[in-house]
Amino acid sequence: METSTVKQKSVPNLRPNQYKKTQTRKNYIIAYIFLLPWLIGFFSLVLGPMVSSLYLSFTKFDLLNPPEWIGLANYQDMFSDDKYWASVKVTLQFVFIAVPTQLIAALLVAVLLNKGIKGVGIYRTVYYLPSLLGGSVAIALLWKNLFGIDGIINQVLGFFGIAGQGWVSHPDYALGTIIILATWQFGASMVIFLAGLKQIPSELYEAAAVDGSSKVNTFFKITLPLLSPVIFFNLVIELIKSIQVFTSAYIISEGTGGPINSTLFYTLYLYQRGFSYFEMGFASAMAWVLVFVLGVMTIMIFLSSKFWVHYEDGGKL
Amino acid sequence: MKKIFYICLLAIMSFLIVSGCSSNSSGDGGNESKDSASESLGDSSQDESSEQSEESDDVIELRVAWWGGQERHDRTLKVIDLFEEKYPNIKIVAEYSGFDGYFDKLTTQFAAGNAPDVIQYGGNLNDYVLKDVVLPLDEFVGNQIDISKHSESMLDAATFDGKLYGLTLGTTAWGVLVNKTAFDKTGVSLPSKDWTWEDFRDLTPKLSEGLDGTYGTADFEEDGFGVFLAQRDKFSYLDGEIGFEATDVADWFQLWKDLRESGGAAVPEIQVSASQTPEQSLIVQGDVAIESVASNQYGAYSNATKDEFLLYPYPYDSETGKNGVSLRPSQFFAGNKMTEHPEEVAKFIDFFVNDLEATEILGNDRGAPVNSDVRVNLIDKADEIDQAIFEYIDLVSETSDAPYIPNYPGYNENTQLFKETAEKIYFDQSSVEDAANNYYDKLIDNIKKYTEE
Amino acid sequence: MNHRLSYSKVVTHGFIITLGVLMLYPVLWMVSSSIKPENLIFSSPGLWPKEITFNNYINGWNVVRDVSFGLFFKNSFIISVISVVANLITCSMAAYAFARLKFPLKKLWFACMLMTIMLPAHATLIPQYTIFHNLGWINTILPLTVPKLLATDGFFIFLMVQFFRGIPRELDESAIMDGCGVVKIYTRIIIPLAVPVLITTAIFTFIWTWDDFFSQILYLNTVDKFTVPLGLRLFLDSQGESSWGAVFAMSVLSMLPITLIFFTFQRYIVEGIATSGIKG
Repeated sequence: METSTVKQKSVPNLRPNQYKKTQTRKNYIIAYIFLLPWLIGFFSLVLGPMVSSLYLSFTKFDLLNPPEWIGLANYQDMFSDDKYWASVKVTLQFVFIAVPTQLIAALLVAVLLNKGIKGVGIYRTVYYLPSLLGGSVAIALLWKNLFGIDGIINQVLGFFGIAGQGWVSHPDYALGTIIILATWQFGASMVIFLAGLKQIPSELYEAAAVDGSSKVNTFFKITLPLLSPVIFFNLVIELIKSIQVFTSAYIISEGTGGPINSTLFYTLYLYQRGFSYFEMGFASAMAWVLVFVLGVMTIMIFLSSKFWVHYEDGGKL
Repeated sequence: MKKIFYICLLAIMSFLIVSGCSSNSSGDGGNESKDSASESLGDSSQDESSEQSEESDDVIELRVAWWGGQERHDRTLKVIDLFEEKYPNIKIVAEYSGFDGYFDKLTTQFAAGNAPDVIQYGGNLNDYVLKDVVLPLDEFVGNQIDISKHSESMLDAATFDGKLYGLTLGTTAWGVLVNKTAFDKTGVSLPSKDWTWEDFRDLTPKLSEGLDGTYGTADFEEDGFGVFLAQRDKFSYLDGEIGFEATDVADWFQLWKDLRESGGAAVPEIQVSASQTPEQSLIVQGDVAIESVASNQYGAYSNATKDEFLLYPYPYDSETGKNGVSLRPSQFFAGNKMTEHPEEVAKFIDFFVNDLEATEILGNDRGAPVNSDVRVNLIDKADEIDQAIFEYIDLVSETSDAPYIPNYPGYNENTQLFKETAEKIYFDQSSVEDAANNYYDKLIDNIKKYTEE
Repeated sequence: MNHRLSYSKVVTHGFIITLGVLMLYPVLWMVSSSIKPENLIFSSPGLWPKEITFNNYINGWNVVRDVSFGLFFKNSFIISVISVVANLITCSMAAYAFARLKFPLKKLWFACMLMTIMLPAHATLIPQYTIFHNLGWINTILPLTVPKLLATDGFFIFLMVQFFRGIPRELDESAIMDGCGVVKIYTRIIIPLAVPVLITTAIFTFIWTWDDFFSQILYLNTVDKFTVPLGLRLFLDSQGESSWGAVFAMSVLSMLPITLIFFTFQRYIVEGIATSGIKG
């Protein structure tokens, strides 16, 4: 209120109503200036490829010859393709196990490493190390070294008298090892949680301590609600990331998705069809079905966020 | 104001969509732009490249792409120096990398009209020929390219529909790698070089028994199946025709199932963990004592372990008395159909396989040289392992009782199909017969899909 | 001193350390493989090397004739640093607009931004490559850095939006009272208070760019432009002879800078940089 009166003095020629209009307009322009880099990037680099991949999804396109319009045939083929459904099943299994386990592990470790333990920086770094290895070529070797038939895991199991399996190479267990890999690389979510914890005002904890609230109680009454925007972010992103999981499966199965399609993730199959089998049209169709499904899921999470995500800014975007 | 804003947005959007689409479909014609490598911005090579473009009237630039390991890069680069010395008006831009991503990148470059001029291919050359992106070399044969000393089968390997599309960079042949150290340990005597599948069946369980944690043999997989067919006077696929029955597939898988049941062959969980890479193969890791390899990989296998490996021919089929192994190409150099300098491409490829000095540098890295003069020249200078490889190649070329059979069209998909079929049998998800029939039907479908254009 | 308290501290420490060892194992294994002779890496896979050699480091450093691994480090470093700066500036600008400002079509753009995260990269690879090819940018660092300058990494915009929304709006309002405009709120309030998320963005951008193999192999053609992940693959031929010892040695070296960067900056995620003046 006060500011507007101050400013009004400097522009005395305008009627208040008109002034307000100019002011909003000016703010719109400023907002668009802030958005400008993204808008330029979106229209010049992102939108074109997106639209053309949508177009390609209605064509037969072998990458090396011009695309040929075939309508909905790719989408129809997809639904009658056993391997497609196998990849959907593998991906869903992965998502429903890996996302919750990874998020819970990341949150717990973040809470544990948030406060003053001696050498906490070193611990944080050590816990982030597996994520640093990322898509390193050495990961496949490491996984065989751990989960192979004479790997470390079986040696440990053998110590307890349990006969092991060739975990990575058995169709019933291979997916499990990739889930473990994903959980083990919880570093990124952990860091985001740590950043989120930092944002919670310390006065609230002090107040809770004065009230004699227990640690568990504080966690549920203060930490979780105030962390909810970050939990929300991690949930959406982990969901998208795990549905699109590619690198770990690609490296561990050497691109095959084997044994017997047990690690044939959605995007791995998409990649195989697009780049190994020269069916970019089909691959594009797969991509757009994925976008649609992810979009629906994201909208659902966004809608649900009203009930559990607490924004400091009042909750309106 | 608001309206203008929306109109502007709409205009930008539609412009970009249109340009995005058209630039995409211009893929086949977009080659005229002078190579982007010479336009590199914002780094130290700028001065150098601008100099080049000034004198680009007389200097021709050729982009050459290959994949490989350290050794191959070093050798190939040396040969390129030699070539540039001999042809000062041709400058070679070497675009080399590891195997990862090589073909994904190549395909993308083709789609955008930006593929290199000379490209190294593997067994998938036929797929690129089918897509009509490979330069036919026939008009250069006898001019820039000399094939008089090349063995017929290696020319056949790069010939599709009567046209020559590439030159073979090295000859290789399927063979059987035998871990001599393991044999010595068990006291099982080494087989004779004309062993049969019956010998193989007797000997492998004994090896498994005598060794702790090591099985007699690894599955010979799809490569072995091709040899197996040749031993029966059949073939996989040639000129639009599949040359075998579903029962042959079943016989092959049954053979291995029996071997596993006798204890001779590695159990499924070990077999499935096998990697294509020589260093991570089962025989190097000590999981098996016998494995099927391509002869040019003998060195890579031997260098990755302290055990002593020997190169053996395939076990013979005792009924037909055939060995079934034939000479095969390891990799090819082929031209890009859209290249602006086809003659220079031909010159380079010819130099690479025929020049004595060049081939001496290249040695056995991509397989035994295809030019017989070159091979003779190399044998004297080779080390022990290369000598063994050359001997083996000579043995095969003298005694070969099977024709050269190219890979299936749709190489990647059919390889994957074979692997999956084998795995279904390994883990009892399918009987041998069902799996074989399924494989056969799916194979026919796949081939149809890739060849119908 | 409370006895129960120190007991629980011991348990916590014990737990963290045990788990930490599990996390550390791959690195120990990589280091141990990197000092084994080439012919023992796979035939004798135990953690403790039977023989020790540093040849892998020497051989790996001198990758190919005219290039040493140092150049790959330099190239990777340049691309990563540019990406970090670009992402910090442009993503935070876009995120500020989405989180705090009012403007027409906001929801549409936000949805578009989320959609860019959802579409698998493989589907847009070829049209994107074509655009960069037509611009003549192939075999330069431009296709790897310009998109970052244009905030195409929706992940970070979304991340920052979530954090900016956690900053109480009363702070903006009181700043408006003090005569701050939209721009000043961004520079004086949002940015200083968002240091943890900015550091997070910087760390992630650096590490992910450092590790990114696929787009780098696509756009960089000649070894003089190559980066660390491409350099590592130069040793590997799936069918021929590979130098795995060199791969391990150079992998260990390539992890050093990113580990160091993580270790140095992680504390600012939790402690923040002197946020004097305004309290969070």
